[in-house]
Amino acid sequence: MAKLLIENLQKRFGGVKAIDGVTLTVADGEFVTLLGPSGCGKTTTLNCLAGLETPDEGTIRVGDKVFFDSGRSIDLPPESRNAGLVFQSYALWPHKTVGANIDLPLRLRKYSEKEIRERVENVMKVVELSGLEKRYPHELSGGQQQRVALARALVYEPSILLLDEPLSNLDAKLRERARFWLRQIQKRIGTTTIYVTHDQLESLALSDRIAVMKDGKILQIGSPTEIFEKPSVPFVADFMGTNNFFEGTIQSLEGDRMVFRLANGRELIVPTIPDALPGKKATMAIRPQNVQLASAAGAEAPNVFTVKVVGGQYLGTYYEYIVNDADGDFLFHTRKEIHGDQATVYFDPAECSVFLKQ
Amino acid sequence: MQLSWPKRSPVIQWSGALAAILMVAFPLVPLAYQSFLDRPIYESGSLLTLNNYLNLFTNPLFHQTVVNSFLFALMASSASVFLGAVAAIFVNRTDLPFDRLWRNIFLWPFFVSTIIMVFGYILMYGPKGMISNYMMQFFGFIPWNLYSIPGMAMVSAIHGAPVAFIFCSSSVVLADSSLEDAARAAGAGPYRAIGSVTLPLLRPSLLFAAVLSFTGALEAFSTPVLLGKPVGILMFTSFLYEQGIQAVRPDYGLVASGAMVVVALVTGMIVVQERLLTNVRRFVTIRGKATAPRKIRLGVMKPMVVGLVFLWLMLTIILPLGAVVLRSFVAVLSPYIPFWEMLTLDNYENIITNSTNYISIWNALYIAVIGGALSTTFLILIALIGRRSKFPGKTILNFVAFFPRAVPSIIIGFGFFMGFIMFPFLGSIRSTIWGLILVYTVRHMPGGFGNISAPILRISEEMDNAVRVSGGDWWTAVRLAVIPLLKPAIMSTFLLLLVIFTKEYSAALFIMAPGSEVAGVVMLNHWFQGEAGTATAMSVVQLVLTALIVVFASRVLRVKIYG
Repeated sequence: MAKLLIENLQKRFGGVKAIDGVTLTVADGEFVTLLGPSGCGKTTTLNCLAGLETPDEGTIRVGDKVFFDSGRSIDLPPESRNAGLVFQSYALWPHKTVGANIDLPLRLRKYSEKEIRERVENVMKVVELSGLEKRYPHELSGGQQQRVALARALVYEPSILLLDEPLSNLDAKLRERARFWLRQIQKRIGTTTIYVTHDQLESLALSDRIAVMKDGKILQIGSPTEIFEKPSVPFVADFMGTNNFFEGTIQSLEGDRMVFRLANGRELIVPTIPDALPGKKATMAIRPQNVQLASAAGAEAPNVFTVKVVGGQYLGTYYEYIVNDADGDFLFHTRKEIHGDQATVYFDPAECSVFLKQ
Repeated sequence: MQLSWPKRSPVIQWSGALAAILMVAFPLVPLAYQSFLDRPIYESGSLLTLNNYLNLFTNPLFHQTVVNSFLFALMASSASVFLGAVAAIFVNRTDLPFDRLWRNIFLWPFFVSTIIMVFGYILMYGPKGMISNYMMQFFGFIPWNLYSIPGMAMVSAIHGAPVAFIFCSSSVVLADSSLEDAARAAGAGPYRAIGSVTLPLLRPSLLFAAVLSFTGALEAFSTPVLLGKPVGILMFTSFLYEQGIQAVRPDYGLVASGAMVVVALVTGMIVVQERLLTNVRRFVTIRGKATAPRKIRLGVMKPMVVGLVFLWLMLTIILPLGAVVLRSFVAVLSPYIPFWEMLTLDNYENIITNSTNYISIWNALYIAVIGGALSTTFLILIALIGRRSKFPGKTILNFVAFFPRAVPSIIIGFGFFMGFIMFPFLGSIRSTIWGLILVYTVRHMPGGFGNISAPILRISEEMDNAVRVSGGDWWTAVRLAVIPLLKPAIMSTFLLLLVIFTKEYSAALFIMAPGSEVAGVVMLNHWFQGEAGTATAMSVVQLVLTALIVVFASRVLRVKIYG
């Protein structure tokens, strides 16, 4: 159990920067998720922590142990890091029983037979698999295999737990259950955890903090609510669920609100942001589920306008409509079916996020 | 800085890699050196010179050799690819009855030493052969000449066809019929589908197989020595054999420069092969789901096709091998005397009474089993270093391990001969079978290394990474997670090397000493001395031993040779 410090981590593959200056501090016992699309450098970062990849530059420290320091030419091999890693494919050794899979790390650490037995028994209880020690991995279900992989990574009390999309091979229902369960276990044992995923729901449900990555850089780091509700750049807003984006110009500032003029001439009231000045170009985002039918708002409310319905589909819990306002299409979700080809919609200013153009 | 013992894994990686590099350099460096010396490497006062190459290039015999070799290789490779591809299509894609039986017989020559096949061909189709004689009786002439370049090419093609067959059969196009199904759905008949989809897609595989067997033909030894040399048709290998072994005063400078030229030529072929292979792999990556390929119905043609297949296999494989067996049980094999009047066990008695004979069979078997096992162990180690570690010299190791492909057996043997002279402190193993095991291991390093590399690369790296993260070093990781999963591939590599080592003898020509002879060389000498009976009896013993081992391995141990 220890604090993790990553400073200015760099890793190139050929000419491509897989990790481009990642700096991250993770508190003791904290659960931090690296979230991003494939190719963003999240798994490479995880592999650098485990020692499976060698970074080009930077430092990695866990507690008082230096894992990697390019300045001092320190690069601990994976076996000396005492990190626990759960692979995306679980990587259970198919020729060994569940028990042998789990006790191998202990045997490599030369624990006594008695202690091995106790620890395996304990960890099997924690992952709720007691009694399956004699089975082979292929005789278990996907969910059970995933728990064996977790048990193997936890049994030697690693100083840091690394999880590489461990839930991605489970089917949707099981994945939700496993999510709750994983969070509970991590809270109980309190190991500092780095979790890698491209699934924004998973990251919201599990993490103390989320670091959104793109092109080898961390774009934003913060609590799930911060990341979801206050994205700092359009990419984060887009990645955390579908978003509608509108390009436009800031017209005027009025206290905590400002007037934002869209390309098609429509003016909207949106929240003020730091560094906002009239005339600056900006992007505004609003989620489809936050666009409301105007009947829900007062008649005189701002941001109410009529749009043309281009298409719609029924998705069970809601209808999704594509609508057109002047020359721009956007999406919105509603529980009510729209009859006819027109709708009046309302953008609640509190739900609008605005990002200045760089 | 704290001094400490070097860690285990780097020590293993460095020693494995260095051993492989030294083993490959040991024959090749002295060979290259000798090719630039004005006198044999063991004489003092030698000077560097280019005269060997000048002599070689102005030698009309060598000119003829180059032309013969290329003509032979061209004919042999096109014929073997044709045979292999036709057989692959018929066996894999039509409803030919008894396809497994035909397939197995077609593959026999792979397991049989070429020298034995050639004995059989001489006994059947040579100027005094049984079938030649019937031809003479019925037509008054023999419509073929075995002792010619086309004759040799035909023998070589039949012997090389199994590899082409295996290569074509494993090609995606033949394993997956969905491409053909698409053509059928678009309205093409079965033959049209094969003609306009399967064959064109097979082209890269065919080209690759052709280059592969072309290289193989350049390296062939038994066929040129037994069929070409007696009538004065020399090829690279028989040229080197004549100049280096049969000559009263061998000109080692000339042999070495000739060997270097052959190595350079074959290296060129391999570069072409590599280029083609990357193209072939592009085809392999489109592998879809494993579906049982739909078979084309032969219909009314079926009885005729079966008849033709049976006749072909009978004439090219079963009868020649049968002739070897028959010859071993008679004193004289002649169409004018019924063989049952000449039956005898004298030939087998010769094996038992002459120690050279039985020792050579025993040596060949010992080298195949013990040497094959040692060789497999070593090759797995270097394949793990080359394919599955962060060893800094990986690229060099992989290159070195594949390099002996460019060096025909007889040249590797000659190189070791030079190496043992240059480094006399190793001379003590030269005349033992351990020296031969070393030579064979180097010669067949590429085959074994390649055979084990693909399965290693198929095992997910997460398997050993999981051990590393759990606290094991590299060596622990490969021992606990990679090697156990490689078991089937290890057995198949062992069986492959065992078969190859049994067949190999031209690598031993320059190295062996009394007591370390191998069966092939002794058989060759008996044949040249007119003792065909003893030669064929030894062949039969070797055939039976090989068959027992292969059948035991594939039926009882369920080892798959070749993928």
